Amino acid sequence: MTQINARALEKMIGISLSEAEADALQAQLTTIFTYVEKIKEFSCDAHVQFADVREIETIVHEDVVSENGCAQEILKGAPLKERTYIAVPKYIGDRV
Amino acid sequence: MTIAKRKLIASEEGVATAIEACLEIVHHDVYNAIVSVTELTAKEALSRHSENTPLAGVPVIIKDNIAVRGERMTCASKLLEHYVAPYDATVVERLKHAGAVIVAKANMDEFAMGSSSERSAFGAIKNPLNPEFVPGGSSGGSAAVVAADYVPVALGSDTGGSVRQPAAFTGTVGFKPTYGRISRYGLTAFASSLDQIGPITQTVEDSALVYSIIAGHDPKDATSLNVEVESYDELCAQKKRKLTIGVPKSVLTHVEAVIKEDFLTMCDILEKNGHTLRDIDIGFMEYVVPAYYIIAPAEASSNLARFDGIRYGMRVDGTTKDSLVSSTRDKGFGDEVKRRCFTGAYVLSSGYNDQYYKKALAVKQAVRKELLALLEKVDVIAWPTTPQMPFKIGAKTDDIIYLYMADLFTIPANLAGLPAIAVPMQKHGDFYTSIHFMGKPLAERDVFAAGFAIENVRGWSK
Repeated sequence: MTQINARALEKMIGISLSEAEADALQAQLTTIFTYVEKIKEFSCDAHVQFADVREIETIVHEDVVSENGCAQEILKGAPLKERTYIAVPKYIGDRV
Repeated sequence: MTIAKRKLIASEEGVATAIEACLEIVHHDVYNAIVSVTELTAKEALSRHSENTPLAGVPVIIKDNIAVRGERMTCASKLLEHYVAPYDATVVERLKHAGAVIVAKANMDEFAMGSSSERSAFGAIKNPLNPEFVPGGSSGGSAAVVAADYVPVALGSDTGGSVRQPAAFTGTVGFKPTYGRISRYGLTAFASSLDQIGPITQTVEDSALVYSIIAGHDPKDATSLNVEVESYDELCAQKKRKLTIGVPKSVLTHVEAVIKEDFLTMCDILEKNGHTLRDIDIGFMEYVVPAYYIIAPAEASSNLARFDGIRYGMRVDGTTKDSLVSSTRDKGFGDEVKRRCFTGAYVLSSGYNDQYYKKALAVKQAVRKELLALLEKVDVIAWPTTPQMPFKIGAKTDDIIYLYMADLFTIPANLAGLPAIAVPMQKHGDFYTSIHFMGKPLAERDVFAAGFAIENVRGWSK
């Protein structure tokens, strides 16, 4: 049975868990991975194309600055704003 | 009620009166299917009303992960509870242009992750066919508002079956186009290589009408296909077409008895009605759900990294930059979203991505290859939409694998990027069984033709 250490993944994902949450999640992840383990039985040749197999063109936009006039509307969605900027706490090193 | 009936009522009563009545209904929603009533957007649409548009005065509800300018877009998450969309999604822009009146945003599983609509930060959605039961998910709110007859059309998003499975649970029609047919611009990304927007309606004809309006190339979406879309008239011309239908009977071992029985009966009737049925074999079924639950979380863990408490939605302050981000995400995300972020990060992590993620991509590729080969010999592939009938709210909350298996028959179309439709077959008690058809890439007309064939058999009007 696959044992997943949820604590080891916390920093990578940017989610902090309480003790109770970590215990519950660990059990759920073990259930999920025991189920998806099935995928390991799938045999594939060595030349599998890992990029998207559909014919999709990459669209490249011209790299130019343009005025879209929606700064105020975008700011409405920010947690905190200051004049025309998204406001963030000031940290020196790792601390406030 | 169909779009045509709504238009008729609006022309008799006056569009403003009909929309007022609809707004009143959504204000008093009893199924917890509505997150926001978009009254200002609706009134703005009325001020631009023109009779000469295909959806003139037709009320529409939009899943709450699709942007409607000036309205909240919560994705049913606490993290985005007060977020207001600064622009219209392309599908919304096209609906507005066609005369539709957007009256509300629909509740859903948080960030479209779930198959029962019990995973919303704003509470579980009830199935209008029996409010003790789930409406399916993740577009459960969109399916519920159509089943409850609030509106004739709602938009949902479909990553592994999130339009078609709730359509099956609510006795409605759910359609997912070929990947790239409908623009994803303005849809909050969950698993970008699988996500597609699709309509939920009462009839196949309404589904075809909405599809013909919202599909088509969009330069704002890099994955949008620059291919001509069939007109509504061309799609309706498929109503009497006879099809060659592939039926993989071996997959029916996974299905509840009542669904299996209805499906086999429907196959017999289709054959008697002049369609050609062919037995086909499918070899990948045991791998599709595991592959989906590796690929989708992997993409989700990356897509959801943007919700860090800095640019969007809520912020929980912390003493360090890292603690600000982790506290915000811990308080903002629900359990299912966290589970999928952890799953996604794990399968992508060094030492494990060969075992999981790359294997899942290989399955994805094999599924597409096998389905395309089968679709060389038949017009569409048919099987039931779901292996299960709807279950009671709370009954399966802790049974993660049961909930994942709900998407068994809908996932292959997402993995292969194929068009697919779910159409109700037969009523049993409060609920309906549902049949599912998949077609070749860009052959939406075949899929709609199959949907029409079911309605011809059933001959009902709801």
